[in-house]
Amino acid sequence: MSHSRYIYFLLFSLLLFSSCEDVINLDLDTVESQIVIEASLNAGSRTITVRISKTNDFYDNTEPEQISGAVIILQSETGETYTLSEDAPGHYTAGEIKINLDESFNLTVEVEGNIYEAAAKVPSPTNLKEVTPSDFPDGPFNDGGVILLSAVWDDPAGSKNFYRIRTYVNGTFQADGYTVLNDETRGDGEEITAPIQRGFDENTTVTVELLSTDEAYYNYFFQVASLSGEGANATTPYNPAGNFSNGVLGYFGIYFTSVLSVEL
Amino acid sequence: MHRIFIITLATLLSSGIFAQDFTLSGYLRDASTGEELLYATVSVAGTSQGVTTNLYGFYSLTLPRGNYQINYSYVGYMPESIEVELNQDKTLDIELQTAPAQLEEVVVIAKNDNDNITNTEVSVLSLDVKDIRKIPVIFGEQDVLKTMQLLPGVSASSEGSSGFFVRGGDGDQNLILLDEAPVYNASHLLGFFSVFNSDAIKDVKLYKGGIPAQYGGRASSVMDVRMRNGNMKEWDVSGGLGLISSRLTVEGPIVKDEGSLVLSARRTYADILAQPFLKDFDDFSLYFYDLNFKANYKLGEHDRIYVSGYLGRDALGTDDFGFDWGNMTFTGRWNHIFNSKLFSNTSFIYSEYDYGFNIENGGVDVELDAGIYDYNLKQDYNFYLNPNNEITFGWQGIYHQFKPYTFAFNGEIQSTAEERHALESGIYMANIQKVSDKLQLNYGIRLSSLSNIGTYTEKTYDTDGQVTNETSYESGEFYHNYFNLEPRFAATYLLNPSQSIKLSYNRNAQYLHLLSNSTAGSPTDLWIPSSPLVQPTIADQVAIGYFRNFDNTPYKFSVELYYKDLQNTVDYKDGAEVFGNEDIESELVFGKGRAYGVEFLLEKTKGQFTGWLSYTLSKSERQYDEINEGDWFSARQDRTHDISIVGVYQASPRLSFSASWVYNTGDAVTFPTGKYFIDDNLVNLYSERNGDRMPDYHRLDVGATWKLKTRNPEASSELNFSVYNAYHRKNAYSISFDSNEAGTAEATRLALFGIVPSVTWNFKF
Repeated sequence: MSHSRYIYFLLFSLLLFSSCEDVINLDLDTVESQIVIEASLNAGSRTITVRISKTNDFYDNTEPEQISGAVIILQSETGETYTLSEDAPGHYTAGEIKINLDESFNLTVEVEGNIYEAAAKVPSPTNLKEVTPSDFPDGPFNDGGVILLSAVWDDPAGSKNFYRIRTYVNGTFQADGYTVLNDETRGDGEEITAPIQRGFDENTTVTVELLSTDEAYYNYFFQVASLSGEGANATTPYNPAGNFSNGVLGYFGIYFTSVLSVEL
Repeated sequence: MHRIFIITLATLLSSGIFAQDFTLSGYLRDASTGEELLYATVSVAGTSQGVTTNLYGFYSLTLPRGNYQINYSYVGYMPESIEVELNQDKTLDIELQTAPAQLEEVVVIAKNDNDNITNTEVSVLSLDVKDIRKIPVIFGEQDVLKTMQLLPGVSASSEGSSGFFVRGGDGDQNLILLDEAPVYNASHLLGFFSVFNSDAIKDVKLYKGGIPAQYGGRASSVMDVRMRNGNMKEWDVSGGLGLISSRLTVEGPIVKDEGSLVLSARRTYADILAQPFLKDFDDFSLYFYDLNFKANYKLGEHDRIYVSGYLGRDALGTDDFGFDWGNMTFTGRWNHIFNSKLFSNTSFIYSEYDYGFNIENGGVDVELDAGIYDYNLKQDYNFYLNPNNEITFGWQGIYHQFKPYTFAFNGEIQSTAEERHALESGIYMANIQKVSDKLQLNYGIRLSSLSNIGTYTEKTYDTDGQVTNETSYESGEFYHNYFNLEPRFAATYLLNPSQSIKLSYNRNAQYLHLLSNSTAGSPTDLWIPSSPLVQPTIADQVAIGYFRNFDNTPYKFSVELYYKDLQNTVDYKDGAEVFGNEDIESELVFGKGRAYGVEFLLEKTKGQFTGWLSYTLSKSERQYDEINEGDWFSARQDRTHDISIVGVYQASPRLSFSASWVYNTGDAVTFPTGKYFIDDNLVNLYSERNGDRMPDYHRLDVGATWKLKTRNPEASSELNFSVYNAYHRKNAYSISFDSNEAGTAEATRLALFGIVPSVTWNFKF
């Protein structure tokens, strides 16, 4: 029910004519850099991508350090193993991965003398049916433009399904704004109409990408999304916990994608 | 059980020990309106003997046969002194005249000149609603909760909010009672207004510690709000017109001096004002309303019935979505005087809090409903044994019904969390005893319990939140019970007539828990009962205070020191999935807390210039094994220094000026210590929970009240001007950390209110 977030924005924008936002400088503590592992297996394109970087200070605006030289091995339930190769600093891939539905994969990352392990399971694929104009939320309070969209698809019956929607404007990925949901409250096997949690402008091409994800990916992005609230809606801050061992930052997830574009 | 008490006490009475004693009893009232005066003093001249009126204005004083001079006094009223020849039991109802305006006092601790020194109340704040009208407030809307926040030990949950924390306790640890009915959400419009319409309210008392045995159910404080009974003498219409809200009250006698009623309504119209700023919106609504109703009638000499109710609703919506929430309470009461020494009150109370969403999207109508419903039966007795012992006892039973949520799509229910039921009960007995002229004790004990009642399926969970066991219980089955013995104790030792030392200890058990995963709280926060998995929160508090009145001056001073220990506090796990989660108990963590501090209050209660200065130095911490690596961390409401200065200057009988200034060091907050990128978007890296501080907060509000001339001397008409945040300080409501459009990481401060002027016209005719 991430809609509630918009209700607060709405309340604030209305009630508080005299409210204002400004940028301030704070003296923030710093801590030692930590490893961040982002590992996604795109089951549709049968490709795994792993990015390894390090955290930096909040006010440090240089590019985060990319970590080279990691040994990364993906192993399927059926015993196939794939070793990822580093195609750019901190960027590792492998392709031609054999995918079976409901199959588990284990990922082992050896970096800077530590070994991190994570497991994920292949989810069910779904297809986007349409992208329609959305009525909600209705107002001047969302990120981006004023046109609101919903994505529509049929939820596969008989299983727990998890989703994330990503959007691209004129081919550029829109990294902020999260639409993350599951089928538990919407009814298993029903048609789902999900409002996309950002606004778009006229005369743009919007590409909507529906990710049908496994539970690990969903859990991670649900946490990331829950932290993006502001003001009265802000969640008590914490570090999203992923599925890697040793509590390393990041996640290993598997998803199928389905894409539709609309001209606005 | 209470029958046994009565019989025992009746036996004591008839035993002849008090054969030479007679009882003087009756009510104390306002002469112009017939409104009962609560906590007023009735004393015997030339002695230290005396009592205070109870919550219904009743007093009873038992003395040996003889002639006495009895003094009746109450703040803001002319005292009365009556000669009584006590040769039999006597009933004496007294009416006090209101004091002329220049003698009006603004008093926050005691209702009577020396009460702050002599009574056993430690850690109690009391507000007479008519006293606070001159203090400047935001939007010109008088609010008892906002005024409470200007007093030591009470802090606002956020800017402009009516949510509050008492002595480092959590927001759900305050028992808020409106005519005895629990109010589960005392906020309107996310807390910018409280549900208490000042026009309908007579008296507010906040127990920060030393909580009497008659109250139970919350760990940190009790806020007892009493509605007005209405004018017994004549019909009145009063009200106010403000920039964003208006109020209207009608009151009068049903039968003169026999019964009265009062009806009070309030509505905001922020949406109408906002409309020009929101051209994009159609059918936009944002408002709340309140209705307070109370009626009472005397059924002869010994009986009186009261019926009161509250209905408040917040609504917010556009043409395709709506969100509303609100409280409803009903209290039916019967006062009965068994004899001049035994006063009884029986109450039936219904209380409800609920909220709902309605969203129309893509042709699908989505609805969500949730709520908590209470049925409450309560019996209280005041037994005035003799001038040195005033015994209170009674019992209470509350049947709670919890509806966590129901989702419906196009009117068809899709998913429902199972309803919960519980019975919360309490039985208590307490005595206020004058041991000597110097020592007064107030001791009591409360036995409380909570029983979970079927139908329900209890689950247990492993550390990953997976269900490991399910047990189903049948309808009406009492399947799990908690019992707690809660001792309460307070002592006052008079060093001399103008100085005293007070000590208190209380244990309170809390069987309801409010779960919130946002920093500021929201109307959708969830109330759950204690259960086999969720243990009751237990608070133990000790407080010691020194009270002093400076002789022949209008200054009063107090300092209090407290330590509070909390067991079984409840919080969400990091990243808990809250909405539509049937296994909400799997998302909880349990810990403990401690809070301690020192509070100073200096008041000037008389003269042209009145006001107070309050300072609190405090600390509040929590410990959860799962949070902050198990180390103690500052509670969100931990605030080291908190200062309030309030002043009212009566320039002339018609014109008064007021100002209040608050300063506090920042609340505990978690700032990032670094950042990283997930899917190209910035994610903050946090280390220690609540290891940082918000910037210092300070603000000046000023106000002026100008009484206009009216033809009818009974009528009144006044203009109230106020300026909130007069020097336009940008106090941080929240700080967010994200990258801007250029990709640079920055901290953005949100300041809710700049300078906010307002004007309100209040009238009565």
